[in-house]
Amino acid sequence: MDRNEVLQKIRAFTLKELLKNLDYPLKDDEPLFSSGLIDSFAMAQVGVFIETEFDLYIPDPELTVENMDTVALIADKVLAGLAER
Amino acid sequence: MTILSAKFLVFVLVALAIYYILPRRLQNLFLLIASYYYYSTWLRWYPLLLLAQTAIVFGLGHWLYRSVKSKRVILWLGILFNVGILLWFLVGGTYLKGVLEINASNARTILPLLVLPVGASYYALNGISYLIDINLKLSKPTSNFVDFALYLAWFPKLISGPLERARKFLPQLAEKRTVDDEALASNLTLILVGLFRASLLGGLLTLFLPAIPLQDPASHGALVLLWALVTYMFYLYNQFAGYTDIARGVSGLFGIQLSRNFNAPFFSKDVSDFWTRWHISLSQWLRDYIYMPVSRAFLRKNPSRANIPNLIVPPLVTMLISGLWHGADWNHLVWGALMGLLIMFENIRMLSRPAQAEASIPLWRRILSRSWLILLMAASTVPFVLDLKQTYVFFARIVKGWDGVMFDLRPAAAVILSLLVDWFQQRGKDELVFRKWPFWAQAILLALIPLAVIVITKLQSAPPVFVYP
Repeated sequence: MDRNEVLQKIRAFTLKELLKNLDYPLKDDEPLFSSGLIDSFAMAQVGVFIETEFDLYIPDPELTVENMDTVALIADKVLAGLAER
Repeated sequence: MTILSAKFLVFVLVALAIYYILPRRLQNLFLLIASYYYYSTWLRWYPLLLLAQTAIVFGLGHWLYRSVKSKRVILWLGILFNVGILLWFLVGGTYLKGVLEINASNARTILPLLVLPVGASYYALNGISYLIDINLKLSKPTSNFVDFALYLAWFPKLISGPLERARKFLPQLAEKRTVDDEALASNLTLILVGLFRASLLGGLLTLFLPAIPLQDPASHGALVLLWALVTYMFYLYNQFAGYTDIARGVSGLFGIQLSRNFNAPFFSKDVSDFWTRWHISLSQWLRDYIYMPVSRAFLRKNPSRANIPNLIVPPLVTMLISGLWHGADWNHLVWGALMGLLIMFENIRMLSRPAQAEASIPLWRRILSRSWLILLMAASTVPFVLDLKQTYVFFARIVKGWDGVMFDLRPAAAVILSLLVDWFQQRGKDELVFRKWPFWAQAILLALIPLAVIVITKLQSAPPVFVYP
């Protein structure tokens, strides 16, 4: 799976499930949690989405705002996890 | 030996002098001995309990790492061992104290076995996270017993945190530590900010005794009680945040970095946000090892945001455990339930409200929501501070006691100063923002803060007591 494909899936999930706004002009490097755009309550959803979509378990202590604040950071984490398998 | 004492200052200075004379290979061993000595000044037998707990968790860590088939059993053994010790002191000890006949002659023998040792609730959580992280393959067990023992016993964080993760702390022990001029200035600034909060602001608030109405809510009006509550919350905050800053600064002088534990909590946008800024290391621990696993378990069955059990159970379970950790009594459980309910309501409210970036919210709405949050958090603090009977009396007076009694406004100076420090740190996005001020302003602060601390300490009838668990 290449980076663009991963980015596209994460972007689509963020717009549909987290922001509930498909028209939002979301940038890949736009802070999601630290800006208050999405509350940290949604982090568990991101973890479960990655599990189901990429068959990849990211441990809870790794699901931090620091690691997952943007679409690009989430994609990097997913790609790093997939590469380790 | 409390952190705000002359004895502690002498202890740190002597420890620093010896530490920097010693060769690198002996430094960790020396810091371990110093930490155990420090712990023994609280009660002589405390280091024995810590040493036993350290040896068992160290052994379990290696067993867990090597095991192939019994990982889950070993992990739960380790968790139950650490939780068991806490429960023995928190619940069993409290119960036995009621059952056993304790008199002056046997009190010295019996009581130490029944009262939770200071710091035990912190190193138990450190032990649990160490084992879980090994199980999650986030870290490997260290083969160096001295380093591991120092991770649990490191004196600046031993009594009241911050809670550190082994995977962040242990690598610092393995490498050569240097404290350059920049690090020295930063750590001394942290200590100064800590002194400002704990001794000066905490001292000012003690001096005006704003908490006295809380000891007898039936005799005071609603306004007096609300004001006492708000000021008491600021007292708790400045004392605890100041204590942590001093601990972090002292640790930094030995080249060991500790995590930030407070980040302008009264500038939070809601209760959930508050808990990412207050006692951050504990909140993150609860989030990583309780909230998230519980929430993910519910979301795996139904990943929808409107998953009702996921909206209710994780915040309630997490905050109830937080309440129990703070004190095994009904009032702390009620406090935990109250916090859980507030977060639950926020989660439900989020379902119908589109997310909005903080910067796009008008200033007046931000000020209003923060003022409301301070009141809400103050009201929720009542069962944290008072027993359930007094909590009831407190709220009864809030409902019926609007008799217009004047209250003491002097503590407002400390409250405003506290908010001002937070505001500078928040605006500068740097807790050491004061180091960027002009030289003359820094010089004035450097001269005035110790002077003010000395004056306020002299004015106090008793030395400050650290009240946070």
